[in-house]
Amino acid sequence: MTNVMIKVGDESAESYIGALKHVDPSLNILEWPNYGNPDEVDVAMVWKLPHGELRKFPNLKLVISMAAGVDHVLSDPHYPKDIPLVRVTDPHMARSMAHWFIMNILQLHRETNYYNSLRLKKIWASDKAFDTDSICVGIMGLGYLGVHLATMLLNIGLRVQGWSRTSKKLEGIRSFTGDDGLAEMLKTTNYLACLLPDTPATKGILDRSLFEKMPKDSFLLNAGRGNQLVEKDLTMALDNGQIKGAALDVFIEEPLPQNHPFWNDHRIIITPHHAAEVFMPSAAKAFVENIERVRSGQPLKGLVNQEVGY
Amino acid sequence: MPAVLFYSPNDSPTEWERQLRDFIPNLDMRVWPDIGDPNDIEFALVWKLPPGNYEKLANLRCICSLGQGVDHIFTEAELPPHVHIMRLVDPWMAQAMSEWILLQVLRFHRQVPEYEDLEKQFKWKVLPPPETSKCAVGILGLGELGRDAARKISALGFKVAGWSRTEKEIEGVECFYGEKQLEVFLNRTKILCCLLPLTPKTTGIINSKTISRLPRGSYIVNAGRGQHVVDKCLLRALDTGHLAGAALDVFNEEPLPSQHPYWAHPKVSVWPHVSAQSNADSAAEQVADAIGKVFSGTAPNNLVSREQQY
Repeated sequence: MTNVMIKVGDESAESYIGALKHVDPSLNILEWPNYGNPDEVDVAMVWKLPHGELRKFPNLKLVISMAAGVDHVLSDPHYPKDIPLVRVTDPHMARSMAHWFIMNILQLHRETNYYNSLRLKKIWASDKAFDTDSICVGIMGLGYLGVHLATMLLNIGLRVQGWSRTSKKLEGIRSFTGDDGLAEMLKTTNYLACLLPDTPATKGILDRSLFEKMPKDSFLLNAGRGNQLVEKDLTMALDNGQIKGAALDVFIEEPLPQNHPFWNDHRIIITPHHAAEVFMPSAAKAFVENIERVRSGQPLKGLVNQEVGY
Repeated sequence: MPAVLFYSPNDSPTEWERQLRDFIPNLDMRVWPDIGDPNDIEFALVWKLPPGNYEKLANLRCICSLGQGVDHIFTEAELPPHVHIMRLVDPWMAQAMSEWILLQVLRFHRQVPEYEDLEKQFKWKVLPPPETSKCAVGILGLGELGRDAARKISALGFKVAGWSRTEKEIEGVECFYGEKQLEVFLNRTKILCCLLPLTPKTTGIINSKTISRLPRGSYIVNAGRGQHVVDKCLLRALDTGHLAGAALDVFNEEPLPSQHPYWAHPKVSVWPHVSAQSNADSAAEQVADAIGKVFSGTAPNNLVSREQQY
């Protein structure tokens, strides 16, 4: 029997436990902090588990991140580094993330906020035409989620290019790597979609100097991590016209504080960190598959390279 | 050389003349009402020409609509017989239309109206996530525009079906046709998108009877014509909660009168007919080809049936 300890942010894990049991009824799943005897815990499935908790389980064989990002685990100074860590690779989640980007690219392109404001004043302004060909999306981060987004964008007829730390080859997509590659991609990117993992190298990457490498009146979309964006630089870039609009799902402080200037800024679309939802009926299958793989000693799916941090 | 008549309240005659001259350098274009000798005119490139004018053009051989819709031509009481009627089939326009439809489908699917309300109150709250594979989108009308939209919505992972007057086949899209299958089609549809041509048979097709066939909590997206919708039926269904929302780009009267209940209705998103506009840049070649054919005595492409009115 496999004993699983689960902790899902601030939510109750009940529905998650149900979905996992549906896939494998033999699992014994206990919700943190009532996990019983720590010596008997084999697998930890976590989202925002308090730091220091993981080292309490001496016989832990696998840590599963319930989110695509694994920074919440790796930032724990007491994380037992010899235990393999896997991230969720759920196609439903990748689709949900891609939808968030596509919808917000279109919201910004079609000026939803502008038309919402006209509606309040009952103003009919039929004078604009919108050219899809003017859109060129540049994706930062071509991991599992980034590739999924790129494919969907191509399927709906938008132009896409992408940048990643290591060089990637994808059909129909110009791809770039390295600092020079990033600068090159930004030159022709007017919709920047950030899907980078949280690592020391990506902190503050979305800053003033990066915005200035893009054409004027560009748009920024971030669903990576909040600390990748230098928030005051975005406000400045919006004020000086370098950036025309933004859609943000992640913030340095979440929930976004009530007094944060972004709330009141009509140029910014704010969503409450819901771009990628984990759909348990499908994610549970991937989780259970990895539990079986660790049991039988097969290679894991979505294994995190702890050296590079993702 | 025979002359071309141009009339449109929305499109620039100088822009069209410039684009057409790339293909027909000695083009003789007459912009209504300064048309010179009406007997010179053999080709009319028009959008909503005021009634009673076609019969004055004794040598007219073809009327080309400056948009996908031709209903503005068929409202003419004295339409001369034997004149070809054709529409513009502009790929740029199909792309723009699909983009607007995708935006509306994603907005409803991702609960954006609800999130916009929360954002206005500076509230950070995650709503229960939607499941795309269970979300059934239905497209009324599978012409150039409907087909393109259906394919792209399907590429995003939605369950897509379409309905048209005659039988159609589209990969990845469940196709219904004819009066008899309309009810089944509506029964399975959660987000109904109308891209029908306006004909006597499709006028008022979105009425209390058809709306009642949709499941409770459905949505209507209309980018066909305002006359497809019986406004009071739509409003009633929104108020009873049978419909959860509507996104409308076309109206029975345009501009939408300021006292119309749609403007301030919390469940209606009013757009000022901006979903897709014809574009001289991408459509000029096609129009030039039609002009050449008509002047040389052959029939142009994209002819419209007088009987079906589309």
